[in-house]
Amino acid sequence: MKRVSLFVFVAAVAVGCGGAKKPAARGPSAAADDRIATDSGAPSSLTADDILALYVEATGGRAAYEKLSSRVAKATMVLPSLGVKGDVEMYQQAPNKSYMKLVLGQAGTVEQGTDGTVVWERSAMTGVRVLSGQERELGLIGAVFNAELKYKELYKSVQLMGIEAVDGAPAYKLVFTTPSGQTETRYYDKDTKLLVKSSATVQHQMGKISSTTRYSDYRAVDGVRMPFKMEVSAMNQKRVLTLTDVKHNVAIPASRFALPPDVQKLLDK
Amino acid sequence: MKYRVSSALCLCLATVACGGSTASKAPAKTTPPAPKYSELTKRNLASFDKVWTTIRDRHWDPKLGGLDWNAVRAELRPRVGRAKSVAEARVVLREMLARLKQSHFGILPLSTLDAIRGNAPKNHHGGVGDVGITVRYLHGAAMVTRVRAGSAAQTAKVTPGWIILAIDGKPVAPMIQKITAAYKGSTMLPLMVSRAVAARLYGPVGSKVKLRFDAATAKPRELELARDKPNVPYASFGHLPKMPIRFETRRLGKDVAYVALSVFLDPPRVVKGFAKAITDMRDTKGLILDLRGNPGGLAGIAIGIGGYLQDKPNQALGTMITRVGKLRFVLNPQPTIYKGKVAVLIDGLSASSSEILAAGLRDLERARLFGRFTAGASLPSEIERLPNGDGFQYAFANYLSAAGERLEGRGVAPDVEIVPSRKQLMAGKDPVLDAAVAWIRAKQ
Repeated sequence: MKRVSLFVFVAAVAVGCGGAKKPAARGPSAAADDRIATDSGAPSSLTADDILALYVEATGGRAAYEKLSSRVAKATMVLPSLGVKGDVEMYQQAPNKSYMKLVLGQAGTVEQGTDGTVVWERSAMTGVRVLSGQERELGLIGAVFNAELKYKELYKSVQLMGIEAVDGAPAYKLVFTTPSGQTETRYYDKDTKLLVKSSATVQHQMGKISSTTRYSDYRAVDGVRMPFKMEVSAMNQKRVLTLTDVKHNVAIPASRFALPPDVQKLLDK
Repeated sequence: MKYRVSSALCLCLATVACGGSTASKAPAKTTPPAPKYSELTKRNLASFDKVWTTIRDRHWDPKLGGLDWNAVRAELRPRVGRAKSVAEARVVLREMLARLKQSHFGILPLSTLDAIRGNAPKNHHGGVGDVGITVRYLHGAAMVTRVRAGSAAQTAKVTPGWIILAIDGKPVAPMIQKITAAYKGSTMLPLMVSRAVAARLYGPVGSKVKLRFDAATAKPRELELARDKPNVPYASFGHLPKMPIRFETRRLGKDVAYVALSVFLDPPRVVKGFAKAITDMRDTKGLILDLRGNPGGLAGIAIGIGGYLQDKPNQALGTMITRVGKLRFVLNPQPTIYKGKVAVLIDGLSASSSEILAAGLRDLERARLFGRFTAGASLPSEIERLPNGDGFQYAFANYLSAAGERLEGRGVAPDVEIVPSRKQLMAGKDPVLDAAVAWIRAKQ
């Protein structure tokens, strides 16, 4: 299923799932206060691949995913501590193009996009920039359509670290590692198999940023269930993203993913 | 589908280092009733605990520079328990904060809080007006430094260099004395005095205020001025109050570009306007960026402006340090870069993003700074009322410039320090601006 993930500050954390090229690790996971004994969790027969397959199944199944080739979504974003609300538009086209626009009141507009090669960002405040290195890597992974089905191509490894409680409910803990070595930890509810939480620390232009995202309010759209609410905590602040409209297989003009002239100017410099 | 929110957003979120950054949490206007001794002790101890805990939990350095904070508590809390007045407790609380050896942490008597707040509006929109004068704490007085065109003050022929002696019959001097005592030695003194005076000049549009001026004449001038609303755009962001934005671009002669910005808000207009200005005036020898009186705002705008002034990659204005991490304020070189000299004008009311931009550009060897020391309020600090009625001012983040200089509580030193004299102001001179123009026009 499609997962909509919110990454604040960073071209963080990949969407989709990871390629379980390594055997699932069953050793102790990272320290967590609410950790459940690892052995009490995953049945020995389950691997990371199994859990991710169950996740795809729980969110609609491979066939449902494969019927989709593009997505246009609208959302609101609220930053409660600042009293700010923004409107978000997201466009994604298979295999790997994306564009996002956030209109944040008097702070102006923030845009991000990729044509599958160049990852860029433009804001009314900080100007335009082309992402590189690990930021670019995450931007490219994040743009992959139906990444849930392609995790083996996108990640160097996915490891099952055991079971931990998320809000009191046991969840499988998987660590995804990108080709450059960036990691994201995701938690899949043991019963529903839905993604309920993710966390990552990523190297951003501004420094290392840690964030945690909670996923809830799963709803089916065109046969694929996705979280309509995401709460991201980073830098001691919370942002709440709520989907308001999702459409699939929409004809998106190619110009939507074309590089803006100022991005092209930067590349030409 | 993936949705990322950019660094730009994060910057504006993480560092809504706003407007002068001293957000006062509505202290009471009246002194709490005199409590019995036991009640007094209880309030003083609760105040001590509040201060001690806040520092422990929110100071940007969890190790507090190696200070044994528990030992400090063990030593000083009993003394607060023995204090026979709020004033005695205040002495101990101040001693505790002094152990940090950092400014921007203070205990303010309630009367000082009232002196600072005055009639300061919670919001500038709607009916809030002023008489059209800009006031600075200069040479120990509340001096007019600018008169807005078309305002009641201009109509009444108020001129820069006049000194405000009284507002609505209340002398200004005692208020200045109180604030001066509280902020003695602090870089924030000019900011706090100027704001306190300005706060008393606000009022509903159409209302009147009586002012007594020292106009350098034999007798003080008494004027009654009507408040009006500045005819400029207003902007806000989230919980920040709406504020008027003076964003001015023009040429000084043919060879100098001038850009003035009164607050870092409204990025679509300001950053775009800045880009247009430096494009239109790219043939000039130099650019003057006037940040005098600019209290800050969205730090992302400082980064945006900086991105048009230097073209090296991975250059940062500086680093913000909080309990949860560090953020480098990295500039993004833009497709169009201004290549001429850059002079930044600063004064005691330049705070927050103004300081971040000025210090950063100087450290990156991209600008020369003219004017006076800035406020040393680079990031938000708060004034919170304590259980015993006093105010507790603290900063919860630190900021290091590109050269590693701490700005919080220290301010940014100008390269060329110029304090306008009263005589210069009365003659209509702007010696800070003049010095910057001369530097740009100089061959070296």
